[in-house]
Amino acid sequence: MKKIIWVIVSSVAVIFLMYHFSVQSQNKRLENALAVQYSNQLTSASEKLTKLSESVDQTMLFTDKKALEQPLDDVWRISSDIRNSISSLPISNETSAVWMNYLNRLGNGAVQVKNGKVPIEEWQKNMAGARENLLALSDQWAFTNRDGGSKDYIVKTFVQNKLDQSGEKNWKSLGNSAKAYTESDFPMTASETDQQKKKDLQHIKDAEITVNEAKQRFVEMFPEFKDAKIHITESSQDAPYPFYHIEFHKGIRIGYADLTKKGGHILSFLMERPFEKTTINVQQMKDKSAEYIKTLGFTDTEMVEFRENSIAWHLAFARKDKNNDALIYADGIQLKIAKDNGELLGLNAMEYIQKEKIDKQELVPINKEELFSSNFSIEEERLAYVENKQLQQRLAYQILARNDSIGTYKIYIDTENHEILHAEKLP
Amino acid sequence: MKQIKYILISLLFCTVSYSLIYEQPTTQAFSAQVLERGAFGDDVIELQARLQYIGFYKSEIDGKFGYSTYWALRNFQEKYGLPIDGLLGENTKKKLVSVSEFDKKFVHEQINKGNSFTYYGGVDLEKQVKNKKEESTNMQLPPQYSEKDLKLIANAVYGEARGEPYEGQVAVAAVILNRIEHADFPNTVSEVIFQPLAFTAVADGQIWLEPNERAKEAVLDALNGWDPTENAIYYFNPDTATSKWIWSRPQIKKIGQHIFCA
Repeated sequence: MKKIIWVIVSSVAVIFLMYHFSVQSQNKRLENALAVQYSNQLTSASEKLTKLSESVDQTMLFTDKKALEQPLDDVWRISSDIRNSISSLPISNETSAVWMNYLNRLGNGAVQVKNGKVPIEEWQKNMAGARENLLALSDQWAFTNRDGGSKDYIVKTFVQNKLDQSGEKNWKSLGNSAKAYTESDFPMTASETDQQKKKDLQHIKDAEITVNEAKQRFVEMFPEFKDAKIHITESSQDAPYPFYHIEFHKGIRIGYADLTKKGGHILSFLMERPFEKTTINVQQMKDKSAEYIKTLGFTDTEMVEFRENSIAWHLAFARKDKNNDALIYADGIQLKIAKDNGELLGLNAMEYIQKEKIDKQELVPINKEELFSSNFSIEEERLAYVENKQLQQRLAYQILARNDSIGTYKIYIDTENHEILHAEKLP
Repeated sequence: MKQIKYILISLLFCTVSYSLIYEQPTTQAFSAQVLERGAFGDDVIELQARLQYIGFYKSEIDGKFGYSTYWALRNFQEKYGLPIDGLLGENTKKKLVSVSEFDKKFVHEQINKGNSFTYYGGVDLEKQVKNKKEESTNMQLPPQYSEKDLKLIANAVYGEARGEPYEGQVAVAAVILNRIEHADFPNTVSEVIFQPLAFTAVADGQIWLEPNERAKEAVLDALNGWDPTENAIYYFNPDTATSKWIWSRPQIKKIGQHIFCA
């Protein structure tokens, strides 16, 4: 009898423990789902605030009515979008109301400027402070895990507030509010559109090369790996364009290179190794990069920028049009060069393989004084090809405009119809 | 006669020593490197701090030689009659050191602590330290991306692929970027990463783990254009994937444990 009682009690205890742990783990999953949901909303609001600040900055660039249309529209559209994001955040009603009003005024202000009810000069005067406020809030809400790898403290607070409000009994309703993250309704659909340049690689007409030819081509380009362990595989049959994947390993160096099967063109090359603390100087790096560009056969390109980081420089090159020296950014290549000895660590030439077709285009001079706000000074000007909204390559005036408070902008203006093709804030 | 000789030698020694000591601050402050736009590191921190000390530089002292530093340096060169080239060469360094001060300990301490601060001359240093600023990845990125993008993608890469080879980590970052460009996916980094059931690391909370330098470097390569996946928008681990649907995707290549698909 004692044994039976003992078995019953033990079984009940085991069942209770199993139930307890199952509930605990379910609650933990739901807590995580909530944290993900709040992180998403916060980070998304933060990204939109940065975008809004960039659009506000662009309204400071121009005085021309047509040039101002797009950035003013963006301010109105994004401010309205952020209001929706903020309304779904579990922040206090007071804070929420303050920001909703602020964004409302900003959006309405942009509409009034666009309709000519408020002079652009007045708007530009008021916006200097607004952009600072937007950036400050954006930083505050950005994704972070600074608390020793745990969740963002704002997100933690939101989750805790929600739990405190709901009480443990209402886990079911919390589960419903976070269901988007726990259901298996996979929302993704088949790919229809690829990035144009990559898609075009399907149409290479060159003759196919064999595995041995691919290896030979790789060794020609990177002779230092001629005695490396090399393993070559072919892309899967379903790959959008056929290529060889070359993995190599030599001592401390390990990496890969992809070559197109048609023509054996280099798509990309990347290598990893430990790094010394020494640094070659910028001139040595430039000399090395010029040497690589020459050896690899990219002599029709020009270096457009380089960025130093802790272990390497990343360099960007663009092809230069023979007729007018305009940069064709779409035919670009990138290099990665080691800081310790100038070794080539990476090459990305995927965009360079198929050159853009460039049509002739008229150059109609622009009146920069009429177009740009007097707060900006024009520092440099040259020609470049960039894409318009219809994905056509257009010849553009590439103008470097500077304002010491707002920043430095690169603006691309169609040489024929003076459409603002793109404005980019430079770091 | 001997005494005069000793006095002369001592005088010569003193003169040489004095001139060396006197010259040192002007040449030893910076390293021998010529700095230009795109540079990064301690020399740039000193350049920005010295320019700010004398009022030419008003942006953040972050060690990144961007356009703000470039214009400030050109303005300085113009004011002091130096060739206006935006390069920090030997002559510009000497002039800058002679007209400014640099408290290396103070400046580096603020940077290491992650404080927001300024370094204007004639203002009490303590008054120039403000609240802690947001975390910085301390990396120079292509203009179209922000540090926030790098941080979030690095978290995703570390959570998803920290055991994978370097190429595999660049590949995961590239998939995230390919999705942003793709019509079937959201248009921002956060919306792509937090899209329901898109990434395991989000579902199981590993997204909040602090990424290591390798994951950040992998993201940096992807942001600079490298895409080892050749335009993939999905990937999965064939040993652990439970979805039958993912096997129907056109496969491109396998890197480490992951198969990348179009």
